Amino acid sequence: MRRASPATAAAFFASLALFASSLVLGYGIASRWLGEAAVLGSTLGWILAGRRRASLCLSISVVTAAAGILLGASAPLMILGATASLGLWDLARARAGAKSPERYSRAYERLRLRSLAIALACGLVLALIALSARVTIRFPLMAAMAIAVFVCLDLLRRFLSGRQG
Amino acid sequence: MSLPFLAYLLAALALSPAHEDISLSARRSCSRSDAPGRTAIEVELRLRNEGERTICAIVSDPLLPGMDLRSGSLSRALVLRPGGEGELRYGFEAARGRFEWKRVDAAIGDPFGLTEIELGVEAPATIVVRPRLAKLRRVSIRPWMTLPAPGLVPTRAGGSGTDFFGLREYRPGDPLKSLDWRRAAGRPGMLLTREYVQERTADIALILDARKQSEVLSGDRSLLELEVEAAASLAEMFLRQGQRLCLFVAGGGGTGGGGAPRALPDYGTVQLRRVLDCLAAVGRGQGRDSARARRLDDVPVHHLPRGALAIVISPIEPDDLLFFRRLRALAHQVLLICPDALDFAGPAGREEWPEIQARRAFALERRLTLGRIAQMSVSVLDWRPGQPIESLVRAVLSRPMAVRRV
Repeated sequence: MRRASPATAAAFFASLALFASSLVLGYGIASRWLGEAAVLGSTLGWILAGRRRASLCLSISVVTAAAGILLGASAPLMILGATASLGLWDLARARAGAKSPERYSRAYERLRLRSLAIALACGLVLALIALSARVTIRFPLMAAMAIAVFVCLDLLRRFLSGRQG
Repeated sequence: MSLPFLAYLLAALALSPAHEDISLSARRSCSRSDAPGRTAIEVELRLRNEGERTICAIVSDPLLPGMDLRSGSLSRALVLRPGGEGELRYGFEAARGRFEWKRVDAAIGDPFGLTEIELGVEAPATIVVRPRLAKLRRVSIRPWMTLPAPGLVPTRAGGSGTDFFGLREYRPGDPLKSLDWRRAAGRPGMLLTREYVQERTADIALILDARKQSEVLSGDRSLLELEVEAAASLAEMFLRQGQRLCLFVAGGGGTGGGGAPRALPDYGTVQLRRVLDCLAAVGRGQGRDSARARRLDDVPVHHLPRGALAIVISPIEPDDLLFFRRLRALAHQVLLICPDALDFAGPAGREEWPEIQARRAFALERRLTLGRIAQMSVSVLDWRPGQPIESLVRAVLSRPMAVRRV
């Protein structure tokens, strides 16, 4: 019998390898061995509980990556790890949803993987470009931007509820 | 670090269609429109995107009560391009029932599953799964009354049958082939005509007790299902023999709610179809909880054909005596087939004193009730659900039942 979605499973393990290797490398270069242990722990978490506790694993992974930046680890590697963890989260949800072999059509699986790859690649490129940019912002401008973010989020919420009828 | 997350969210928003952009149509087809019980039935749902945007849809079609999934999946994620189609296939089995679908559920959203619009797409279809029936051998019944139509029930009158009945004096108009020439030769001047046993049809009224309180479950088996199968088998046998048959269901719910499901008296295969359709819907409809549906009196006995042989299939309750009294007051010949609910439920799990006493009390009450019913000149057939019903019915129906006026 065909497994739920072999392409999704392959993409999941590829993302897991990318996540673990980038964070291990980042923490290794910075000689932060406690961080290495946290990365191994979260990798194990993705393998053991990824399908059922995807959101918890994502939170732990993102916190691990963010802590790496604060502790002086390589920022591009940490961003790469965080992006891979987002991919892991999406693929873990897809694998959890594919309980029966016929749950996903091949076209749906292809579209999902392609869209995910494009979205994450764009996000990663934008994040790496943003790393090289140095912008100094004064406090009033930052406060104004924070308000603008809240307004945008509210507009987004209204927009989404309007689309869902 | 937040930019990949933002890009992911924006991609999801860009790929999710707005409510007004969605236009879907669906078509449901089943491998059969009617089927006997426990037959594998394939359902195919085809969804078509009538809109101008590619959409991702998770189509789900939950099983209706009484169905068991046998193959395939009940939900599927599809990508529907403009004008494109996608399908969902599954196979199910059911013991019996009338299954009516109206729509199929579709959740439209982005491929990541972050946004979702739930829709119901019209996809109507109906399928009737008729109860299984065992082909019973012919039983020669001895009803008190018959119909004035040729059939297979021997009567106590001479006529144009096949079995020899007696001799009588020749009357002008008798066909010459019925003259007994041998005896006529021995008695000169006296002509004798041979008469044959007249064979007619009988009126049979099947009354099935499908009241909720009479329903007994043992594991995944239901006593009602056994009763329905017995009723279906008897109906098939009687109609095959050319008898006129009607069916009344007490407390069955059925179509339309309150009223008792019924099939009015008729003959032949069309009537068998009607009866099986009626039995398929027994216990599946609404209105089984109404006060009326809790009594056997729900059956309109005055609608039974005059002098019909009434065969009641019921696990019986002490309050049902009045129903039998009414049947007998209308001069019906009555046979009660009473499945033993205690035997069906099987041995008690934990043999504790209160349970043993309760079972004894139930058995005693049942025996007393059956005894009282038998006193009304009702033939009682105590049916242990493990026994084949054919031999029991043959033993009771093929001998003349005693007549006692009440």
